[in-house]
Amino acid sequence: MKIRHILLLPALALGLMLLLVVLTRISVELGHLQDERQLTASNAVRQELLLVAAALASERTATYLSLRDPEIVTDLAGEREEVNLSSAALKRTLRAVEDVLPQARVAVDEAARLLDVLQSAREEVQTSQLSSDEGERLRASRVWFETISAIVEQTQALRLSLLRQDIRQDSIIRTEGRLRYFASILSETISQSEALIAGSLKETQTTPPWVIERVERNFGRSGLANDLIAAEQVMLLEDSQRLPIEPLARHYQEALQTVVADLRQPARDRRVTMSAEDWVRTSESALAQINSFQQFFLASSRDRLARQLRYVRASLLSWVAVLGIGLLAVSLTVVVVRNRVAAPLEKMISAMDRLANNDLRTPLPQLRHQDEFAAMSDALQVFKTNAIRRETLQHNRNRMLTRLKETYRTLRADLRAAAAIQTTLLPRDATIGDVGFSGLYRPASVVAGDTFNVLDQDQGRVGFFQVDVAGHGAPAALGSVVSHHTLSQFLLKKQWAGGLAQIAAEIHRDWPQDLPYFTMILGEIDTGCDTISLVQAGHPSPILIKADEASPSALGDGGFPVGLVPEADYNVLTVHFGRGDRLLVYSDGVIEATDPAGHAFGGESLEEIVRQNATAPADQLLAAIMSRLRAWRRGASFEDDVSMLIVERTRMEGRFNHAHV
Amino acid sequence: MLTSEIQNGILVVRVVGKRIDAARAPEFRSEMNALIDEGHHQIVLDLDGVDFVDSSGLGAIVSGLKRLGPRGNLAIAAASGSVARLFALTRMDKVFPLHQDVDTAVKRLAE
Repeated sequence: MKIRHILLLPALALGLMLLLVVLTRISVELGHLQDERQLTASNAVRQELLLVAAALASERTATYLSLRDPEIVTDLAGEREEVNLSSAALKRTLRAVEDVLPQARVAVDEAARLLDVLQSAREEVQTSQLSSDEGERLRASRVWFETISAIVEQTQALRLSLLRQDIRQDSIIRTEGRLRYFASILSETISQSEALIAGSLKETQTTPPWVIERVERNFGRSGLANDLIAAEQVMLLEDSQRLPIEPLARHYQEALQTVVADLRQPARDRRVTMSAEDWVRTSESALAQINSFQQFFLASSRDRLARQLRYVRASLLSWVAVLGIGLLAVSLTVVVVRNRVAAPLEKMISAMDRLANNDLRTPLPQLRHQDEFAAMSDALQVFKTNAIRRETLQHNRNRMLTRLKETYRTLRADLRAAAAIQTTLLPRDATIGDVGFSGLYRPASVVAGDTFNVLDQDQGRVGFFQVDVAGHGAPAALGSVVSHHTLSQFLLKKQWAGGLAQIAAEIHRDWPQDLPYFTMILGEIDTGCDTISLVQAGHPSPILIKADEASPSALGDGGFPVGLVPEADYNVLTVHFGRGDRLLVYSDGVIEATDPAGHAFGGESLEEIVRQNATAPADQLLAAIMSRLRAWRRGASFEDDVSMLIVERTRMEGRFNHAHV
Repeated sequence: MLTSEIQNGILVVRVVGKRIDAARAPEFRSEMNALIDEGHHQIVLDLDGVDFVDSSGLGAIVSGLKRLGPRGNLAIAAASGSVARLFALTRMDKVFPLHQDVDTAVKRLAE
């Protein structure tokens, strides 16, 4: 999983959680908003219904009284107008809240129906008012009264149904609503009794029983309404919204009781404590107080609802703001993560990738901010610089290595060529007259400091030499070639007055200081005199093998090497050398070869092998010595050049004691 | 490879190790030259413990003598075994004074 995902995932998850929580809250608040709207609408509708009911009660009273006593002065038209206006207002309100309050539609239909009923009742009254028959008018008044009372009752029922629907609301508002409802019941009873009693007080006849019955019923209902109001008011105690309604009720109730008692009397005996006008006034004042009670609570509820609506709207707004901020924060996080983490990381990764793939010229990302990425970039810069340096170093080393390899190859080729040249200088085993010779040459490395030669000097003389130049490698090899050439030239010149000693001295005198010194055996076989002469210049003493003697012996006890110290001088050793005699000349690589324990082969061991193979052909004798040497070395390579030369006077006419080459 | 000390005004040079051969000859040469260039003219070379000298080694020892020149003296002490035989074979016994031990060599040179 990428780092940007690891960073963004929690942020997005948190953002999502926040979103869910806020959206939930917002939907809840929207629900509250809807509720508040409904409450407000319901409250408004109930207020209109209250006004309509009050107007209807007034029209009822006026029409009733005027039907019973056509002389009475009433503002019937005004009352009717009031009813029309308030029912129009109700209709308007209902239409306005139709989409907020679902019950409004039903209410509209109901209201329309009630209006029709009112309209037909009004028309009937119009007809009856013109009649001169008092009995007919009285009947009509009762019908009117009942009809309008029924309408009022149904508007009350409508109000109650609207009130009951309001499930989720403030308890105070609900209480206020109930108070208003009970108060309107109270005022309806008062209004009914006002009309009925006023009518009966005026009349001379006995009060009809339906009036008494209705009034008494209202009396009970108003008492009940009072109690209910008192009970509800207790709920509002802490709100200190108690209004003194009890004194009002009591006063009215007392007056009512008295008047009812009066009305019970037959008309003849009736003594009226209160006139109709006084009764009307009492009722109206009670109604007025109840009305102000209603208005107070209407206003209170309206204000409360408005406040709650404002509150819910504010709450909703703040949650939306939280949502906005939350979304902003999340997007900001995404952007920041992308810009400050993901993008630089991407650049860093691709740069590191290119560097890892050896693209050392790749430019490093330019980062603007002084943060961890800048530190990484700096480190990467160092790494890149080092990598470039290493690459250059490696490149140079490789170049050097290539050159070294070429040089080595060239040098080795040169050395091999030199070695080949050295080998071609050596004579092959052969015979010169009755002198046979066999050589063995084993350089320790490619080129050698050892060399030898055997030369025909005419008149039965054979010259020979073996040389061992000091040191190893090219200087020794050069020394061996130069000495080989020089000695060969000297030997080929016919006559030397001083003989071999003079040759050695001459060479020593002219030997270049830059060349290493060398040891040598320089010898000459004179077949005419049966002698062998030699100069031993610091070389190991050669081994003489006489034909008729069992034990070989070493010749000479030493001499100055050539080219080592200036004061060197040389002398010649001459011994008898007849047919069958042999001389083994060898370099110090033979006797100084060591075994694994470090013991040198030694001259005695050499003499022993020679003794054991004294009569073998020369090449076999040399092979035997070589074989013993290898065994002595236990298979290890030789550290110094090994060269051996056997010169011999053949026994017969150049046939049997040596191998023909 | 070489250690040195002054005895009676004579520089006594000792060889560390048993061989003066082709591998060690250049080192011998340069150290000996350094000692000679310091101004020592009377030198005893103590070969006690050296059991092998080859042609390169001999050349290195002789080069020391050559560097000393006519004003200087180089004596060999305690050459034994194959080393002594080498000196005999190459007549170096006629070139360097050879002594049994350092004290004798020092005494002779001091005279």
